[in-house]
Amino acid sequence: MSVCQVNNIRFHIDFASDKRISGWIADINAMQWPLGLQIRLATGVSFEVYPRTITLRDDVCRELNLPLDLATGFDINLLDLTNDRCYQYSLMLGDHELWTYDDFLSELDNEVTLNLDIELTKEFGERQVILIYERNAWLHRQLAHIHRWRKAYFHKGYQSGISYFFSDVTELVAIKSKLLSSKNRGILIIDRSIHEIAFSSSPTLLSSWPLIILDKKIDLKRDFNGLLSGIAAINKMPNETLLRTSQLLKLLTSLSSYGDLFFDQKSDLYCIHSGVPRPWMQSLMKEQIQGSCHDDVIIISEKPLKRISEIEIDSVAVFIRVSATRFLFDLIVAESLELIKGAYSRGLKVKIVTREAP
Amino acid sequence: MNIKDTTSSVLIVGSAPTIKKYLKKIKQFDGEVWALNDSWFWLEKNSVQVDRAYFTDTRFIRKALEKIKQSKCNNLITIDQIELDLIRNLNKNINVFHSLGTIGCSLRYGEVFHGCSVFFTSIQTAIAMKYDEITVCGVLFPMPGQYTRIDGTQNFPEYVHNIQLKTARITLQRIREIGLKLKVLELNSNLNYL
Repeated sequence: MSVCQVNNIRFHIDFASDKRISGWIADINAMQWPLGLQIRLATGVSFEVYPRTITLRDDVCRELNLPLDLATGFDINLLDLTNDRCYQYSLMLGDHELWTYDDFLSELDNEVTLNLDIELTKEFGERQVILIYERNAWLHRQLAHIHRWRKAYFHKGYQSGISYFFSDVTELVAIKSKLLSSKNRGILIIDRSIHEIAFSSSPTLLSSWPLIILDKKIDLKRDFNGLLSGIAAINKMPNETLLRTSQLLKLLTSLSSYGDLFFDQKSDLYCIHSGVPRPWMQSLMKEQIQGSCHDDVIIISEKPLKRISEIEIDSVAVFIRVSATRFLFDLIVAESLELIKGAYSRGLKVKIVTREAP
Repeated sequence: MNIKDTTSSVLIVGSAPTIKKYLKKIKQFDGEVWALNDSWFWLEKNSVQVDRAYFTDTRFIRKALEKIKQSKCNNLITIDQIELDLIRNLNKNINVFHSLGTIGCSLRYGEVFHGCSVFFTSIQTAIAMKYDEITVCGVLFPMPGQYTRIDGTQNFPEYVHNIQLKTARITLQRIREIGLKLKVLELNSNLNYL
């Protein structure tokens, strides 16, 4: 994206998503904030850009020879403004459409020849995402494209405190000891084609951190622990889809948008998923929680169960440990049985608690 | 100052669609009825007098400003983190409580931890006002994908479930310590399992 001109208006969109838009705009002739600037949604509803969302951007003022105290920056939280995610909206000045955000139009082209020497984000923090790519391969090209679009896209400040570290597979050896000694486990994303090489160089890291294996095409059949399925569910991505740049961007930024879901692993709380709860289940559940239970899914059943197929939905209640929700996010809306099968297949701990005979 | 109300029971009505099942119970309730967000208008539509209406979300105000203006309830409670300019000129008695932060439970009247749900502002106020019995209806804290409201919306723009449950656990702990009686009408409310 580049600086655009509409008569005497200069503007730039620094960051745009379905939840937030930020950038700067100025009327260089009148030397002021362009009056009547609005965000218009696809539904036709418009919102004026509030004066309180305008900020100083002295770098812009200096470049455009404007007074340094002229407010030219804006940062708008679309969620707060509209109470919804905005998949389509425009920046309007009067009746003139300055810029449009549209999921279909904002698709970035993967195939352009890029200068891959661009430096990718390398940040460490408490909530860590490590992405391992192969140099010059598809993932590297897409990341370089996003960074070229906006260098600070994966900056911690933009991404709700999530630290992204994009690393070539050869760099992995250098950072693995730092990652293994860190108190918090982050999320490791790796290009499928280099998974084996990475595993042989850092087996402990790849076994102990939650892993997402990315292919050029999203194929959820290969999603072992359910993380990718959850992210795809958040973004309403089909089970098999070509991972173009904008989808990769969505996929990665979902980790920031749902930071507490993906990174809060200390929670020992449980919440009810499905089934028919009965009054006596409360005390049984309390016993489980007080006994410092480490199970991810708890099935409270009236009758003893030997196998899953014996579960009668009317006589059980299924609980999920909140910190395990990230592995089951796509199954939250599923039936009890489907959730339980999913939990088993994703290697989660499932416990069946039966009511004692009176 | 004795801030205890003459009634010793309060019913907090949230916006989960399950409240439809309890309309008769709500109408027969002997005590104050407090409404959270959208349940306010649903209760009034069903001829239930709302004694206090709670809202702690700017988005809700934007959406429901006209309904708020037309409501019969004049006793509104909110927190200082919202955009107060939107409601400054309303001809209502609005109490703006001080928000102390996200996770926690305050026992002082007028100060609350918002916990990313309006429920916590109401229940901390009920505790501070020394009600003997608190009944809760329509507050489920369901998992994100199962989220619905009485107004039909199913929006899930942010993940705050974790924060809500953590705040709920601390609040329930305080309630148990104090010895207050808390009754949750829905068995599938997560308030029963914390």
